[in-house]
Amino acid sequence: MAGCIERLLQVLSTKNDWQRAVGVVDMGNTLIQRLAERLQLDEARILRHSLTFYLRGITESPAQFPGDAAKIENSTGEWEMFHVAVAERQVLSYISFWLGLVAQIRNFDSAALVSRFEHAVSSLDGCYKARAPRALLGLFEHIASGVDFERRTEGRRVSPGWWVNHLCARLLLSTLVQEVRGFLDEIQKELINPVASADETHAEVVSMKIFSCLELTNKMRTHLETVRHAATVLETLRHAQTDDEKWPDVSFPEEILRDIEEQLYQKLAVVAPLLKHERHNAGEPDLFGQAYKTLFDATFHAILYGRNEIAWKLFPIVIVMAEWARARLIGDLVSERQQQQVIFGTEPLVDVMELSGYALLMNEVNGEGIWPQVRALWDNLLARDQSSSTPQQFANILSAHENLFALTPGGIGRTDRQLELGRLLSRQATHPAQAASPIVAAFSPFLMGGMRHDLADLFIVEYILQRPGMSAIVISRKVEILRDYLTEYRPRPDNSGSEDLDSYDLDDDEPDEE
Amino acid sequence: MSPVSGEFRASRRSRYFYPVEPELAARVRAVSFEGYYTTMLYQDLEFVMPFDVGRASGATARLTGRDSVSAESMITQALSTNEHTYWLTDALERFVRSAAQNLVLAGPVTYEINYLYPVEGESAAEPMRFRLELIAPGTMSYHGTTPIQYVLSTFGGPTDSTGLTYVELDPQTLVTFHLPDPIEDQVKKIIHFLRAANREQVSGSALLDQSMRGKSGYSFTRHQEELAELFAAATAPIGWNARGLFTYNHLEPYDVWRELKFMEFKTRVRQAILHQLNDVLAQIGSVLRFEAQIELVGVVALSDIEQAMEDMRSGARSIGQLARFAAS
Repeated sequence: MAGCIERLLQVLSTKNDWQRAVGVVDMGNTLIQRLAERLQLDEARILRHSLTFYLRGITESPAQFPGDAAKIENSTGEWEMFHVAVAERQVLSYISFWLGLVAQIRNFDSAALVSRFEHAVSSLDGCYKARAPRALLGLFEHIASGVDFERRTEGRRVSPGWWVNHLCARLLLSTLVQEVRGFLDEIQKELINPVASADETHAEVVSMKIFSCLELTNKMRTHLETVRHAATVLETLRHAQTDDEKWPDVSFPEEILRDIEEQLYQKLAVVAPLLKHERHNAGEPDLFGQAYKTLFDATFHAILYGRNEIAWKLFPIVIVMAEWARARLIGDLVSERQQQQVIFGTEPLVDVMELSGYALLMNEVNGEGIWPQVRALWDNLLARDQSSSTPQQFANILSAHENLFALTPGGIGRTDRQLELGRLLSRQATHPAQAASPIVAAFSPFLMGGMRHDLADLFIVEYILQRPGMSAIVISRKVEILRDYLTEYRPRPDNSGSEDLDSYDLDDDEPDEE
Repeated sequence: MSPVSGEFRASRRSRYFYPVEPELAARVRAVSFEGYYTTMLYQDLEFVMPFDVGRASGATARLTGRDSVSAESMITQALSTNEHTYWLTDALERFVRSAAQNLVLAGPVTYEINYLYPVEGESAAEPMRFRLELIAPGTMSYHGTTPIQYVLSTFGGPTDSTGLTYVELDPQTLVTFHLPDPIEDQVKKIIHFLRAANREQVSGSALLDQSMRGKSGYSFTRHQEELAELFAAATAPIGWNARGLFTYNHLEPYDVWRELKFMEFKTRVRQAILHQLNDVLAQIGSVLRFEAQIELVGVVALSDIEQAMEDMRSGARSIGQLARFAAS
């Protein structure tokens, strides 16, 4: 069938029929998901390879199609649409496969599996009705034949259920583990490597592929837990007395997913500045906005989890894109009320202040990080600011946001990031009393009193206000509180830090989340 | 009375001989282990006693009863008819092995109690020792109600209507060993099947030859599959696996199950022989005035095997553990 689809797609890859070809690809992806749901993984993989081969052929060497796709290429608009549609679907085949697989194994439970195995081996017909990967189907056949033989020769079944369960669970688990590991390898070879080495001329297509790949890795990370759950369920069918050395190791190299994502971020950092960042057209996907948000989040996580190399690769790009985003927002919001313009138009600047604050904080937490580079970057940027108004502008922006009592997407995002920080710090159990750094103490989740400092405020206090001649700038109330807090907590030459601590109300309990 | 043996005079009437005469040879061959499959089963029955019997860590035989010490040497010699040994365990191992092989391949086995009398002295009328003499399977019959043994014509004696020479036996000195009741019939059918398989065994190569020459649609694989099923079904009551010649459709637990069943069969046969041997010793003891019974210690009991089978069902032991037990 895969061969038929391959030939059909070649024939349909013409100027008039390319939309039908895309329709066939969509149906193919649906079928991949269904096959994977039925654990017909070999069949699903074969079909996925066929579609991937076709889609890659369209993007890499369209002239090979007799139809031919090259004619579409000559009609520019059609080609762009076809190309984008193909780029989206290239990853969709993998997503369909993965979602189908996890949809099946999500519902694994011991009793149902035992019943399923029993039904599959209790008669020769039963094994063919079982939804199983090819290898397991082979085992079902083997056992069903053996059980049938036992009934014919002994007048009863001899092979016990626990043995059947152990063998089938082991093979199913082994298949799943190999499938997931193989899938990770295939993603690296078939999706990530081509994207990482892609020509940046078609920045839109490359970025779209990157977003799709990131969606896939996100789904994989989420559902690896499902695979682990399935492994736990299958483990319950393991016969302990057998002491089976062949029982598969179910560890998954999660760092592969992280490495894949970092490769994608790096490539996105290359192509994102090439994306159009003029005023947003509601009729087109906002690739620039999506790229900015993706890179911002990636930089935040890289800083938070000490991935300093990638953090510093992305940080300067985010700064540049934030400035472009601000400029674009001014244009996009021109018809809105002034308050809306201020609040939403300044979000990118709040973002970069917050991100800089995180760089500073995590440097204090970990004793290393990218803050020295970030500070140098700001030094350089502010040194080029001839008006010298940027520091005050930054402080004013935070004041404006402080007086805002509405929930904004930017504010919600900042709260989410603070919660993630709180979770990280609480795992590290850094109590203010033990924190060597007053900055770390100020952001400790164990600090009681309800005051949750903002990371953007930290940037103002610890960087902007420390710059020469900046002591007179007007700051928001929250910035002032944080400044006073740090001043009081920071050890003075004639006093010890520990005495200062007495004035703070400390809570040993878990951190309260907003 | 038969000829004198050393300083003793023997009561034996039966004879030990090689059946060189065609009619006798045919009778003996009909119940012998001759044939491909029957030979294999015959050899496998050598382990009706555990292979480690008599070794330091293995099973041993011992006598119990009032005269267990004084009668041990006599009983040991009585059982080691053809192979002399000083050890009761060795003598019993050989006796039980031989009895089991004959019981399974030939059916009920008759021994003649050969009472040994002193040649001279006041006690010449009283037997002092005994031996258990196997009457070769296939040579025994009845003349009316009188038990007889067909012997070589060179021994001389009366002949029956077929012209075969025979000697009359004393029924008071004969003891016949049987397999336990349900097993005896089952084993008879199995041996009948195996003798038929012996005859068919040579046809496989001829069929294969024909198939290679394109003269028939014979499939060696299909033949083996059918043989596997026939053998498995036919030998199911005793669990014999024909040395693993046929494994098509066999699952791992099934193979171990069959090993356990064969182990169970051998144990039942061994126990039956030992039980009947003790009855014979009681009978002889009443004549020779001793009281002793043979006990085998350190062997796997039927209850151990039944527990192993139950453990397979419940999963209390792994298939590997049970396979190791079955091989013990």
